[in-house]
Amino acid sequence: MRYANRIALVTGAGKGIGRATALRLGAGSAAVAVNDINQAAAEEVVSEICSSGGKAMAVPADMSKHNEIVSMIDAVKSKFGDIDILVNNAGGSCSALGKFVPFLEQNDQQLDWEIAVNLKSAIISIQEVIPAMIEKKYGRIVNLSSITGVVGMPRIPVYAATKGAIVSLTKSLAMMYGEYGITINAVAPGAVATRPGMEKLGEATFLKRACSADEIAGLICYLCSDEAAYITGQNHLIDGGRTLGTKPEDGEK
Amino acid sequence: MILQGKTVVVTGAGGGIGRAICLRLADDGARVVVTDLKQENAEKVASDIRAQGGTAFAYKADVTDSAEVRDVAKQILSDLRQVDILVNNAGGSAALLGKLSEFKDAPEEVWSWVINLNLMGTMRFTQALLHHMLERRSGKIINIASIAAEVGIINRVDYSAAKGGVVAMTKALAMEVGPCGVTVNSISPGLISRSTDPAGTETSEGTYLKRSGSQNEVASLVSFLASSEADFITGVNYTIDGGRTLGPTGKGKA
Ligand SMILES: NC(=O)c1ccc[n+]([C@@H]2O[C@H](COP(=O)([O-])OP(=O)(O)OC[C@H]3O[C@@H](n4cnc5c(N)ncnc54)[C@H](O)[C@@H]3O)[C@@H](O)[C@H]2O)c1
Ligand SMILES: NC(=O)c1ccc[n+]([C@@H]2O[C@H](COP(=O)([O-])OP(=O)(O)OC[C@H]3O[C@@H](n4cnc5c(N)ncnc54)[C@H](O)[C@@H]3O)[C@@H](O)[C@H]2O)c1
Repeated sequence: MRYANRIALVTGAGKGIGRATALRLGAGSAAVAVNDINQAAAEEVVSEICSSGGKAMAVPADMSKHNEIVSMIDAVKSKFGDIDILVNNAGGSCSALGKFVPFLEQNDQQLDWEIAVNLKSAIISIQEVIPAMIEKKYGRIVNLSSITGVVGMPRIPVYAATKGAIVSLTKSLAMMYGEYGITINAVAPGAVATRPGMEKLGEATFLKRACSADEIAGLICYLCSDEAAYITGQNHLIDGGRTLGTKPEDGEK
Repeated sequence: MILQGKTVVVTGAGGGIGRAICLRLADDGARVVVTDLKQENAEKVASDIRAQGGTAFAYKADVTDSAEVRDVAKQILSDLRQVDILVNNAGGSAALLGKLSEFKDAPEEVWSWVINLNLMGTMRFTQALLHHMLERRSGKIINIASIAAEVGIINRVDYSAAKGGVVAMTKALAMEVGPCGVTVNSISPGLISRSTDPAGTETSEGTYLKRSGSQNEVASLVSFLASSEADFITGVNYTIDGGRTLGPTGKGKA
């Protein structure tokens, strides 16, 4: 089995890409810690993994809160042991808080939340898991970035900035910890239909479809495997070609 | 057996990385068409695959020879009926001719030879099989580029330009053929060990993993991109270099 004897933590894994990643790691025999702010959602994913013969535990926590992250990771360590595979997936734009707030109206609290959940959460989680990875001389860390962190995105500039920061964080940390056999990569999804009604995103791709959360999870899980040992510090676009080409000028075909 | 029922064509497959790709994809269940400049190199790899219980066919194909590429593509299609995956791997620098040099001193025969082999060879083989893929509305093209494309390599201006061309061609072609169900991606390896040593353990201070990569590690990434797991990935260049291109080195040495 691909992840036998590995201990994995996936944040924001109650639904979407995180859930699909947790299910795959579980099916590959990793012991999976399923984090989400939504406890019921995390528990549901855990029972899905366990009912198909896997091993999992729910570790609810709000990833925008430093102390919650630290005690969540402590809980994983005391039940499963040191973490080998960390997928920093929790995140979203300000609209995830309930309603979209235009850039010029985003207040301090909203900015802090957006930066905390997308960027700081990954930084803190990595700080918590790295020492044990160094000791074991093994580690796989995958951070969810986004095409917005590479090409920008109107409407959600702060979210895009945090994703750009994730790409940069990934590179520096890959340089710092490579010699310990720890690889650190980013995955940049483009058009993912995580909710019904999002399929129209696909029109903006050259494959003329949106992808599923599970397709993103496939790439994440490849990077978490032993086989991907020589890949580090990279941001892996998976977007159906959405970021290719330039914006056509009027009349240009 | 993630490639069961698939047929894959690999160019320059008699060499180090090409051979590893062929063995790996055969292990994944694919029928492997091994092509190389030298018939005997191709035969050798094909027989290694058969010895492991896989299915393989050997063809001579010089990617710098338009007529030969066209003919061999026709022959492959008539013999095997279907090609699902093309791996454009044939390539190399002027080192193959023993003629590495600074660009200011490079004869045009040398640099045009390097561009012809790496860039035009990739374009030629791609074009020869593209209509077939478009007709079937299915296909995956994987081009082996190099980190030279992104960061350049000293004394290999021609090779860097050719590999940069491969990456750019990958993107532009992905746009053209994406709506017809064909994906095009490239892989940029860093320093890959010449030995078949599976661990790629040559120490390498230039990478942050402190070792060179193995041919099998490149083959693993090819396998992933060739599989249905990568259906949504197109027009990208994935780097596999142990972190060699990260951060400024300030050294400027290859
Ligand atoms: N879906 C896309 O198109 C897309 C594109 C690019 C990047 N991404 C990135 O991928 C990641 C996952 O996206 P998704 O679309 O699967 O998200 P989603 O909204 O479907 O799921 C996110 C999950 O994270 C949980 N979560 C939210 N805030 C949390 C917090 N503070 N602490 C813990 N858990 C929290 C939610 O409860 C939810 O279960 C995010 O980092 C996102 O930015 C998504
Ligand atoms: N080895 C590395 O460190 C490295 C790094 C980056 C990129 N690459 C690329 O990977 C690919 C494979 O490299 P390798 O190291 O396995 O090379 P190699 O020299 O071991 O093998 C190359 C093979 O290509 C064949 N070949 C040469 N000219 C040809 C032609 N005109 N038509 C068809 N076949 C031809 C040779 O016969 C040989 O079998 C090349 O494109 C190379 O540029 C290699």
